[in-house]
Amino acid sequence: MTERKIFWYLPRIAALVAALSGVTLFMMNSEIISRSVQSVLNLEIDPSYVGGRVSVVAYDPVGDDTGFGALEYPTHPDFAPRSLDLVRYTVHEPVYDAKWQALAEYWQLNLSFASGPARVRNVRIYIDADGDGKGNAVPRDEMAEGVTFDPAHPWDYAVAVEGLEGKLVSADGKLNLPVEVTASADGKDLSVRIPLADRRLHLLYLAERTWQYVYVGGWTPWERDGFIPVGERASAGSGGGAPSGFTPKIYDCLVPDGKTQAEILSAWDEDSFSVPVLYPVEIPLRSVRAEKKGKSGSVAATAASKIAELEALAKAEAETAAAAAWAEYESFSVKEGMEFAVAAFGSGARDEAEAAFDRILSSEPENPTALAYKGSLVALRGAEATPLAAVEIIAEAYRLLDRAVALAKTSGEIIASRLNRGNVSKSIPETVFGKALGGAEDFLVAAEEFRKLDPLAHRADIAEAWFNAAICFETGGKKSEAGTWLREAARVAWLPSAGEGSSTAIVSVIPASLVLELTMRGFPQP
Amino acid sequence: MATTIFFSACMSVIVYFFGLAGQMSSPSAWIYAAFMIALFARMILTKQYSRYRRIFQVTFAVLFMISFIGILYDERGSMSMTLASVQEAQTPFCQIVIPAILIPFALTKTVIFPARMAGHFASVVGMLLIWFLVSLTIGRGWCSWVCYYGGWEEGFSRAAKKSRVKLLSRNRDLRAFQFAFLFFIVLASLAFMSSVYCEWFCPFKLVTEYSPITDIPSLIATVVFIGLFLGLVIVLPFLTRKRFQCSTLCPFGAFQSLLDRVSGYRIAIDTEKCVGCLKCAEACQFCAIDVETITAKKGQPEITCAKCGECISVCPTAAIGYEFSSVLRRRKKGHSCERPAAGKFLQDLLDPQYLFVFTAFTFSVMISNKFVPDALDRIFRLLAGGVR
Repeated sequence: MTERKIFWYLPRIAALVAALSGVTLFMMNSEIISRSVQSVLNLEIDPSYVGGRVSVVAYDPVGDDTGFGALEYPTHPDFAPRSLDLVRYTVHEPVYDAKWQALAEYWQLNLSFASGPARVRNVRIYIDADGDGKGNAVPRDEMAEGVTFDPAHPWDYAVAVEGLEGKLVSADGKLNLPVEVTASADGKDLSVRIPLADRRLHLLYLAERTWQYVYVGGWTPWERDGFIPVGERASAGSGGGAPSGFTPKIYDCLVPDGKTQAEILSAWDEDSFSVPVLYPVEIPLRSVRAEKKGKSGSVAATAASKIAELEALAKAEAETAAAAAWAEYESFSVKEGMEFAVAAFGSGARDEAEAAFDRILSSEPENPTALAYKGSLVALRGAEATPLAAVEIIAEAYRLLDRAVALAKTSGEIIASRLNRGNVSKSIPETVFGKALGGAEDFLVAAEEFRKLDPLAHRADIAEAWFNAAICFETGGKKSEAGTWLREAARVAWLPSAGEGSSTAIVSVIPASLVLELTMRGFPQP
Repeated sequence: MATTIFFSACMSVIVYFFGLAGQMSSPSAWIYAAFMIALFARMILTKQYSRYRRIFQVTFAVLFMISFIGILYDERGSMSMTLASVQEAQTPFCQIVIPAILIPFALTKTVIFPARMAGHFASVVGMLLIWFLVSLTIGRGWCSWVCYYGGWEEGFSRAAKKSRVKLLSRNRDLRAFQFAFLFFIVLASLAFMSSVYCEWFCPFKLVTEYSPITDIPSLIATVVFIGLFLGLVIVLPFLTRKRFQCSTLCPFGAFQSLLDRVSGYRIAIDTEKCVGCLKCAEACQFCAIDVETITAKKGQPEITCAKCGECISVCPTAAIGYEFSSVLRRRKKGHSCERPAAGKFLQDLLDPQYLFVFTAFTFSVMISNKFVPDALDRIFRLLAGGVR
């Protein structure tokens, strides 16, 4: 009888305890589980809520906010560095059934800048909606910004965004509508919604492609069409660095492939009284899938033999570098300090590296570089541990890495701490730890420090950091940001160096591993 | 007493993990933990489940509102839904939307609600996971034990001692209306590819967030949700002592009723002990016990039962109690479900009434653990003159 009781109660109680513990554990880890489920299901919001399906994303280089090449910002403190630096332009497909929003029919354009605030910008988007050659080939306030447009693509509509006020006008002057402009809290992102309820704008629903002139100047309420003037010297109310009265008041603009901003914006001629001619960027409005195909197609177009060659080169490079680093320091004692430790870390001699870093930390517990590398070493241990133990180990690694970042003061320390933390954030599973976006931020900060040190000498480091930031953004679900930094990494990587004419020289500067990664991701070396 | 101590100790562990761990220095967290453990212990000790459940739910509803609105003000400076919150898919997602999004998702692979996708709470996947677990365990018990809106009706329905309007004879019609309304909401959401309930009918916008009034339709929607809150959440519950919006309008409630078959627990009526006094039918807040339920000796409330335990409290012959769904199914098939005799403590460990209450209250802790301490913090700051 007793035995029967035991067999009746025991399994039921065990099942009960398991079920309750399961529910509790499930809920305690629901954030991780929900991220994992989302990564599998990949649910998406109905596009009509969030701006419509993305039609195209156009990228503009970071740091080219100098107009024709030498324009300086006004000295007024509102003009934060790079606040006029356009980095991304996203065009959505027109939406005709938006929910929960005042505008049920709209067309959304998003502009991302390197920095805020939004109130200092004067943005213009001139649109040739049909390519029929009819319209206006000069800006709406003729000569306000000092450019004209390609006569082959005169504009039909113009969107003017001054600070956070926007309006749309037509070339024939019959339309003048307010547009909805919102800015992100940091002022980096501008969202422009053009109301399409007016029947005169319905042709945009049918447009397969448009041609657009997109440019940015400084905003002031006191000048023609709101463009802040530019002169020889910058002042609170004027930009500087302009050698001529014909210098366009444009700090940044999108340019079509094959042309550069500097060559377009510097093409004024005082003798013939001619101003630079802007060329439009072709913007398809129904091409999401075609774009994606194009991307993968470009990878496929890269010869398999070339990929294999790059893979071999990357592998050989890594092995040679590691062996050389270790060989150089092998004979030294642990007391040689940081250099030895870093070299040991780079060569994969983890135990030696950890011992060396421990020794440094015992005498200098607040040494940010040692803390950063120690954090990375701890994280590497986590990669080999069981999943549950790994969570604890990674948490410990982040305590060290966060401390390193907090203590870092010099460029070298900032770079070491940020790169270490970024690399850990990039390597650990995003579904469990959710650190990818933080990692992206770390890589961007490190790249900025490299730029401050010497942008040319650290070109490869900057490209690699931007590339890693792109990977982190991609992992963190910020696909547009990923695109921006991937593109930037490729741009810097493929810049010809001074005195380096041949492509072989470029490859020798940029690590083969990065060349391979960029090539595989659709940015082959031109 | 041993049973009370055992289950309270287990609940203390749950409260520690969800309410105290990581915020041991917060007085609000300690107040919350003490409140929840005391409430649960009294519940088990006195077996007055519904009474203490009601105290929790009303308290939670009010504090949830304070915390939620406070968070909205912190994040966007207003209770009003902003264009940015919609565009950036940062609108909080609540369980009521679930029935409306499923079919559109199956057809288009997109979610017709601008919420963030992953996260513990107020995200699409997070709420779907919670819903999945709740459906398997307490089923529609969510409405009476966990729902952060239900406390409003719970409170107003108990504001008067007696009901001014008797609805017992209309129970069936009210239930039919709720399912018809669910059907309408699902179809309308599919037709407009938008959560029509949130847009036009949700009375709880008044205590959470609402769309700004920008045009005539949004003005009408605002008038509708204020009217529904006054009518269905305040006036009718006060007059009828029923949770009126839960019983007639809430699509999630109706949806959970349909899914309740898969849940682990039910309310069972022992037809042998029942004397047909109909006190349970009068007391039921979810219109789930009709005269016919008792006279036809169905042995269970109707499909909309939310397992609140009100009927258990008022039954003079203790004929009503919680039971495992599997036991009821086995009994229906004529199988014996007798347990081997054992000590009282061992029996209590597997007693469905304690297990249901424990499970349901565990969900209460899991959902309330962030909002209640946060609301208390805000209240303390307000009292100390430090409004942000």
